[in-house]
Amino acid sequence: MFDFRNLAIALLFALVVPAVWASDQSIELTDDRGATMRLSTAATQPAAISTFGADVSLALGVVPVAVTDYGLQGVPDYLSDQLKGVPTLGPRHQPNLEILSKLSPDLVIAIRRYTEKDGAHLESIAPLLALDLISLSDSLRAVELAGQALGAHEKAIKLNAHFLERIDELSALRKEKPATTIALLTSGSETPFIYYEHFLATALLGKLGFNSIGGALENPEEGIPLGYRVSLEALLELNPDIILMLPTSRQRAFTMNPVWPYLQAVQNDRVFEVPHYWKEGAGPIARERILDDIERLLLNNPENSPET
Amino acid sequence: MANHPNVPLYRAYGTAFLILAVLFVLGLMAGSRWVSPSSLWAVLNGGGDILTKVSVMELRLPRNLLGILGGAALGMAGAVMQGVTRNPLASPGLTGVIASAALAVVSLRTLANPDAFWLPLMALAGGFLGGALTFVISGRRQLQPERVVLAGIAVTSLATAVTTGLLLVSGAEAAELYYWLAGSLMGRGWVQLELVLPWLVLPMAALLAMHRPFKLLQLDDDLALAMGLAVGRWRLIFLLLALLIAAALVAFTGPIVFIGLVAPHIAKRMIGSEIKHWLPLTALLGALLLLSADILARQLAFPQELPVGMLTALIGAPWLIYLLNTKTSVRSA
Amino acid sequence: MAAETALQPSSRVVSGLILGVVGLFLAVATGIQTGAVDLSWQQVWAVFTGDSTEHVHRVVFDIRLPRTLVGLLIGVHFALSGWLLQLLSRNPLAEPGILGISAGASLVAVIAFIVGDWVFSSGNPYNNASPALDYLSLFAMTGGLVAAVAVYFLGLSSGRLSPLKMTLTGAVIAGMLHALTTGTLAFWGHAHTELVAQWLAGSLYGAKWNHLSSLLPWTIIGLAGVGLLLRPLKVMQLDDEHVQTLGLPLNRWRAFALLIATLMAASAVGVAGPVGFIGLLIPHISRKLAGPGLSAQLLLCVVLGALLTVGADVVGRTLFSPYEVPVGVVSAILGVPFFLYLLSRQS
Repeated sequence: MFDFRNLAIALLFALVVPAVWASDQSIELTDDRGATMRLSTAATQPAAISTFGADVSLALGVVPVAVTDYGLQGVPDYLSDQLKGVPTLGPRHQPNLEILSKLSPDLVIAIRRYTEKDGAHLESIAPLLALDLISLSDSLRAVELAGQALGAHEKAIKLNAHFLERIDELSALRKEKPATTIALLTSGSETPFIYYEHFLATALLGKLGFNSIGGALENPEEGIPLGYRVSLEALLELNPDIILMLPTSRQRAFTMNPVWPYLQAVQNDRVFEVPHYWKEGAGPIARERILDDIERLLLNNPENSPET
Repeated sequence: MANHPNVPLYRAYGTAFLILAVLFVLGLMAGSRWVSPSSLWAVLNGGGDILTKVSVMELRLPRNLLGILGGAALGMAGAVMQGVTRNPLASPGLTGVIASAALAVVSLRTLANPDAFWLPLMALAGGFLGGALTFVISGRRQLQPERVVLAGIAVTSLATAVTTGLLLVSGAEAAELYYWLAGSLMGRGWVQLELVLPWLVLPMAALLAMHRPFKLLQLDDDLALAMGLAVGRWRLIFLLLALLIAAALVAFTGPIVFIGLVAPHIAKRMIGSEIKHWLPLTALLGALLLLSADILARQLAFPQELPVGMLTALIGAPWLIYLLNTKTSVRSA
Repeated sequence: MAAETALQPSSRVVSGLILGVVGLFLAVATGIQTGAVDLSWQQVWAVFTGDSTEHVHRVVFDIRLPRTLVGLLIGVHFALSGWLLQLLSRNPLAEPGILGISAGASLVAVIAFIVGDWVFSSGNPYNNASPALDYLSLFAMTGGLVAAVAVYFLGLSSGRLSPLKMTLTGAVIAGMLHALTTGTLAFWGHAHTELVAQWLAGSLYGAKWNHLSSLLPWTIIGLAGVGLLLRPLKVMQLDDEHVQTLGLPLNRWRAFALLIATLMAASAVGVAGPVGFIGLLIPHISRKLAGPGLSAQLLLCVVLGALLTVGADVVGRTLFSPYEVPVGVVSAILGVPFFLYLLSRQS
C-alpha cells in the first residue's frame, strides 16, 4: 500500500509536470468564431487574408508568407513597400487555397466575415485566427490575439497601450474646445454612404471630440451593417461641421448635386479626403496613421474648431 | 373577349390625375423630415426657411418629377411593346432590354470613368442589343408570346451573369454598383432630370402623336397593310422608341421592373375598346405607380430608404400573378 | 413518326458510352492535375499511393478532387434539368431559371450570408460563428424549391399544366425574387458584397467532400427519375391527341418530370450557386449531335454537362491565377457565341 501511494503520487507528478511544461509552450486561443485553436509554438510564418493580417504581422516584426490584395489595385499602398516580394493569394473573400497550401504557413490571420464560409479548408492548411475587425474593441482584441499567436504577446499589449495613450493625449488637447460634428462618407454614387459610430475610424473621431452624425447601430456589438445610405436631405439637416470622404475611383456624383454647396462644411471648406486605410484601420500601423491624419487635418489646424 | 365594364374615360383620367396630384404633393412633403402643408406653401411661394426650401426645391421636386416621367416612360414602353407585337407579355423587363441596358452601364462604369452624358447612350446601345437579340432568337416571324418571354429570360440571364462577372472585378466599386442595380430615385436631382429629359419627353410625345399607326398595328398585319400602313417599318419605329425611353431611364435610375408590364394591363382594363386612350392612360398609371413606390421607399424603412426596385417588384409581382389568374386575354394569347 | 432505335444496344450507343466514360475520366484527371500550383503526374500518383507530401495531398485530395467531382455532378444536374424542361415545354429556350429556382436560391443565400450573423448571434459578441453558413447549401436549395413550387401551383391553369402560364408565372416570380435579392444586397449587404457576389456568379470555390456527399443522393434520385421518364417522355413528344389515345396519365408524368428537373436544379444551385448556361446550352448541343433519340440525348447531356462544367472550372481557375473566374461567368461567356449561333440560325 505504501508503494501504491508513492506510485500514485509519482504518476500524478509525471502527468502534471509535462502538462504544465507543455502548456507553457503551447498557445491556446479562441478567435471570433468562438473556435479554439492550439498552436504548439508561436507562429513564425503567418499568412494574411485581410489587410489586418499583413499589418499586424509587420507591426510585430514578422513578414507574412502570403497576403491578399485588391485585384487590379494590388496590395494596400501603405504596406506595399514592406510587402515587396510577398506572394499574393488573390482577393480576401476567395484566397487561392492551392497557393496557400504550397506556402505552408503555420498560421492564418483572417477577417472573419469573409473567410468563415471556407473555414474548414483554411484550417486544414494552418490554424485559423478569424477576427472581427470593425470596431475599436475589435482592433484591440485582434492585435492582442495575433500577438499571442505570433509569440509577441508583450509587444502587442504595448502596441495597444501606446495607442490608447495616444488617444488620451490627443483628446486632452481637444478637451476645452466644443464638440464638432463630422460625417465620414464613402461612395461615388448619387447618395453617400455614412458610417455608424462603432466603426473604428468613426469611433476614433468620436473619442477625439468629433461626433459623427451617422448615429449608432441599435446593437453595436453586431458590427454590421457598417453604415447606411444617407439621403442628401438628411445630410443637409444634420449639417456636419466637417466632412471626411474616403477615396473613390469616380467623381462623386453627390458632390455635384445642387444641394452640396448648401452644406456648411462645404461653405467653410472643411471637406477632406482621407486615405484608403481608414476603411480597414484595425491594424496597428493603419490605426496609428488614422490618428496621424486626424491630427494633421483636424487638430493641428486651428480653423477646425467652430467659432464659439 | 374581355368582359370588363367600360369605365367612363373621363372618370378614369380624372381619378388618375387626382391621385397623381395628391401623390405629388405628398412626395413634396415626405422625406427625412415631414414638411407641413403650410411650410410647403410658403416654400413654393419663394419663402420658407433655407433647409426646407432646399430640400423641397432641389431634392424632392426633381425627384418627384423624375418619378412621374420615368414611370410614364416605362409604362408607355411596355404598352407600345405589347401593342405592336400583339403580345401581352412584352415589356422592357421581360424582353431583356432593361437587363442589357443595365449591363452596358455597369460595363462602362467598371471599365472607364465616364461623364454622366454618356450613360444614356451606352444604356441605349445595350438595351438595343438585348432587345434585338430577344426578338430575333424568339423567331422573328411568329413572335409567339411564350417564345418571346423565354428568349427574354435567356437574354436577361446572360446579361445578369455577365454583369455579375464584371462586378467581381470592380473591386471596391462593387457595393456601389449593386446599390445602383437595385434601382433607386434617391439623390436624383435637377442634374439627372435635365440629362434624361430629352430622351424621355421627345419620344413619348412622338409616340402619343402617332396614335393612328399604333392603333392599326394592333390589328392583323394583313388588315393594316390593306389600310396602307408600312407594317414592318412602323413596328420597328415603335419598338425603337419604346426601347429608347426604357433604356434611357435605366441609365439614371438603375433597373426598375414590372411597371412596364403592370401599367398597360391595368389601363387596358379601364379603357375597354378605346385603343386611342391606352397610351396616355398607361403613362398616367405608370407615373402613379412609380411615384407611389418611391414615396413608400422613402417612408417604409425610415430614416433609411429602400431601393425602389424592390418595391415595384413587391407590388407588381403579386398584381401580375393575380392578373394572370383572372385575365383571359393573357392566358389565351 | 420517327422510328425509335436508340433503345436497342447499337454500336453507336456503345461507342458513345465508351467515349463518354473516357471523356469523363479525362476531365477528372485534368481537374486534378491542373490548377494554380503546378503538379507533375508523379506527384499526383503519389497521393493515391499514400506517398506524398502534405501539401500535394491537400491540393489533390482536399481541394481539386472534390471540386472536380462536384463540378461534374453540377454539370450533370443542370444539363439534365434543362433537357427535361426543354422537352416538357417543347421549347428550346427553356432552362432551370424559368422555374424561379436560381432566383429563389439566390435570395435565401443572400439572406443567409447577411442576416445569419444577427439571427444566430449569441449574447457573447465574440462568438459570432454563423451556423447559417454551415447549412448554406440546404437553405439555398430550399429557397429554390419553394420558388419552384410556387411557380408550379400558381402556374396551373384550372388544375392542368399550361406551359404558357407557367412560363410567365416563372418569369414574374423570378423577376420579383431577383429584384428582392438585389435590393437586400443593396440595403444590408455593404459589408458582404464581394462574398455574396461570388456566390451569385455561380462558383465552385471551396467545394468540399461534404458538398459532394450532400449532392450525390440527389444525383441518384435524378438519374433514376430520368430513367423512369424515358418512355413517357417519348410518348409526350407526340402531340396531345395521340397521347390521349395511348392512355397515358399525361399530367402526372409531366408533374413528375417537373419534379425531377426541379430537384436536380435546386440541389445543384444550393451547392454552387446559379450556374446559368449549362442547362440552356448542353441540351441544345446534345440534340444536335444525338438526333431525335432520347436515350442518346440523355447520355450526351450527362457527359457534355459534366465535361463543360469541369472544363469551365479548370479554365476559370488557371487563367488568371491566383484570381479565379467563377464557373458561372465562364459558362455565361460561352453563352455569347451560343446566342450568336442561335441568331445565325434564325436569319
